[in-house]
Amino acid sequence: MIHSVKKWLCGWLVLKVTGVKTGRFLSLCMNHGIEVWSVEERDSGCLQLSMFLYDIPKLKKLRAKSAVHIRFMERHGLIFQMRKHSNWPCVAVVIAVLVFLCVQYRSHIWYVKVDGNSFLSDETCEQLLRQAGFYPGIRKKELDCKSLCSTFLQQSGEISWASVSKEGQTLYLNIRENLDADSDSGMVPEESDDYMYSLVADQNATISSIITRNGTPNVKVGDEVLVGDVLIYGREPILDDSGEIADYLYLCADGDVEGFVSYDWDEPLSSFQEVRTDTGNFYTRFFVGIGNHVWEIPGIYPEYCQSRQVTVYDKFSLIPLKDQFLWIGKRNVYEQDISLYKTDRTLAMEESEQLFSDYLLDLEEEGVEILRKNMVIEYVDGGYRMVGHVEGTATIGCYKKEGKMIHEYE
Amino acid sequence: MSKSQKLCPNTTEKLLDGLELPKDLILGIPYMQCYGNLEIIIENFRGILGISTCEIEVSSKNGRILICGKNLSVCAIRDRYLKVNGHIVKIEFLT
Repeated sequence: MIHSVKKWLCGWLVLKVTGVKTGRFLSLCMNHGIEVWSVEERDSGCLQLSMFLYDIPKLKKLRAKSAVHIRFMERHGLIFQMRKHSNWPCVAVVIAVLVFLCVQYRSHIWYVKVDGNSFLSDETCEQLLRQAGFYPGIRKKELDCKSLCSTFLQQSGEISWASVSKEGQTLYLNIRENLDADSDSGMVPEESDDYMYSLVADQNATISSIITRNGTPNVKVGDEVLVGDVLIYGREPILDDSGEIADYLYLCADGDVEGFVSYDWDEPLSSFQEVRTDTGNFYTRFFVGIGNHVWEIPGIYPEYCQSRQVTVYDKFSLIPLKDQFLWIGKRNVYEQDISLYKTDRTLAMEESEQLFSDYLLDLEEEGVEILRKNMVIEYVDGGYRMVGHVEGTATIGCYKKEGKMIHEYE
Repeated sequence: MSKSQKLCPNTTEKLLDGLELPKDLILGIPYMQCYGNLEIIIENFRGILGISTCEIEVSSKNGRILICGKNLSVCAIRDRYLKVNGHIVKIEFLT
């Protein structure tokens, strides 16, 4: 079959060779690397054979050596068919269209890749890019990365740094989010700032200790505070000669305020537990990709049921061009058996312990020092619920911009 | 063949038999494969001496090989490779 495809693509001819030394002619063909097939004797001293089109130029020398006469009988192959049907203009048009499409594809930006975002989603970043004047399909010559970056930063207050670059057909956007930036409770401002910053409670607590370094404290140990209550005012009174408040010195409040906090947690547990075990069966599928497009090569064997299989992906680059433009990968799929067990008290205890320990870990990462903890499992309405209560101490307080500096007289 | 020749074969052939090396590569003798009497493939020959529907004669290092039959045709000729189709009646080795 491969030989047939090669014959059609390269083109082949049927020749009639007449002469006395036809055997010598065949030997010379063989010695000069010319492939010949379908050799038949037609008449005495006359052979009919076939050979490739690209070997015809070599026949001149061989004909002289063997003193035979060669006549071309038939012509076959793609090149002869195209000549016969005069399809050259169509082929030229098709090739020209393909070249035009390739040039157009390469001269535009089609994809966006965002990196460095954890709080903002990719869609939000792309939306901000559109507002800044970028759209997929924009010409590379029309795109100015510097101006786009500056416009993008001006529009988004939650991003402190951004970088825009173009590579291939992709626009790369690297950002750094300002996660602590809050218009009400921002970081410590500069000294030339004309605003008053106070320390306010960010959660409900009972004050356990308060140390004031700057500003005027508003609470004392033992006070119960709610979210938003001022803990330390960002101002200090200026007294006149008579001891009365003449003016206020506005500054940024500074201090450490700790309080007793408590958290309640109530969550239902799942009624059924799913246990997955490997059956040992697996299959492999290969796929090729160009850019962001993926094509999977279909396999012979049917796939497992989607709810029973576990997929493990593996991707590696075949041609290490930039952006991994061309790559090949494989997907290993393993079959698993799923068994459902109704949750009993033992399973509920295991699940709740895991969930509770994860919750406590999250609280500790937020800076809560846990003093007491309690967890209870209840059986309600045919299912289990876990109810937890945690008490501890934490640093409470965040900065709040009170407003423009004003002079008050009391 | 004399009795001494029967008892003392060629030293090279004896060595090749002992080492189990391919004779067609080392000695340069032709290698033939037959598929019944329908097809024969000859490799490692020197040249073609004559082709007809009844006889095909090729030369080799040891002599000539004559293939006799009916409706004989050469399917393919490549570098030292020959494939013959047809109804093969006889294969002769001529010195």
